Amino acid sequence: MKFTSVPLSVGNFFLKRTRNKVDEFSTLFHRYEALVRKVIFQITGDSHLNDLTQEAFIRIWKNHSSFKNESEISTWIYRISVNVALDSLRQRKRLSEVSDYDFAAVVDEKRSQEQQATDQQLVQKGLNALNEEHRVVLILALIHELPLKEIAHMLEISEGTVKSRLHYGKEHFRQFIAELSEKRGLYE
Amino acid sequence: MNDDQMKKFLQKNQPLPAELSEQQKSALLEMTLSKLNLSKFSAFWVGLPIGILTLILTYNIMIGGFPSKQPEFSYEVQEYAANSNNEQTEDMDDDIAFEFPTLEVGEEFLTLADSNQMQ
Repeated sequence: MKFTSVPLSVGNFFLKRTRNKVDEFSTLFHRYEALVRKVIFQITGDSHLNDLTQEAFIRIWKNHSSFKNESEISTWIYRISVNVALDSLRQRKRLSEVSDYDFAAVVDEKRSQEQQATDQQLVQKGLNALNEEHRVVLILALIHELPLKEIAHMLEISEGTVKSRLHYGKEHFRQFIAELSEKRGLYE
Repeated sequence: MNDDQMKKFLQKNQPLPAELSEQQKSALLEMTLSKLNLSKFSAFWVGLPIGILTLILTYNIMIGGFPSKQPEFSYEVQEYAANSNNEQTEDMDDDIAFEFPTLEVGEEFLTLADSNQMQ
């Protein structure tokens, strides 16, 4: 090795190592960005979605090396996304911000807005009307079709608790839809 | 609405966030990378001081071998150090004292006074 090439080689080594990590992270980001954003959005309906997505990827990256295969990584990604979303909701509660999840407020919206609401908005309102425990389980079990066992593992609760939360989540969601339909009927 | 209908209804109408454009995606990726200190820019600033230190170390090795904690002396100095002892050193100090006597301040005045009287 030539004397003058020593610092260049060291610089190249660091640059190459970082470039590999950047490529690895970029692949991970492009593969899971949509999923992470979707999970966080469905749980929080948050306007700070990009910040929360960033936070989720930072947590994913800091722990990714301990995962060997694809299924473990996707479970881990779901878990981190759910945790980031729940942390955000708790933080919002602590800061006493105006909650987006006020059932009465949602139901008592103006008639015109209700009529214009699409089914997608209806689902979002219905989910927001649930408490966060029921909402998370309903989203993961019904929308993302994750097995109950996996959800239990992800949320660190028993499978029985997952079943119970799912049951109540479904009941409340049905109730919300029924009440909203009744209200619409009254207006029409 | 039964369970199956609810599932289909939820899946069909699931709330979805606005899709990011490629530019927005790249910006988000770049911001996340910089938060993780993974950007190429930070690699340069990590690599640069290490490169400079390596250059200095390599230069030192090339001109003087590996740096050691013990200072190296010439053969004569080492020989002298091996044959000398503490007493010799003390004698040497005395010789120096003899050769360069310090002049007391009082003596200096007396000498000056004598020379004036003689004049």
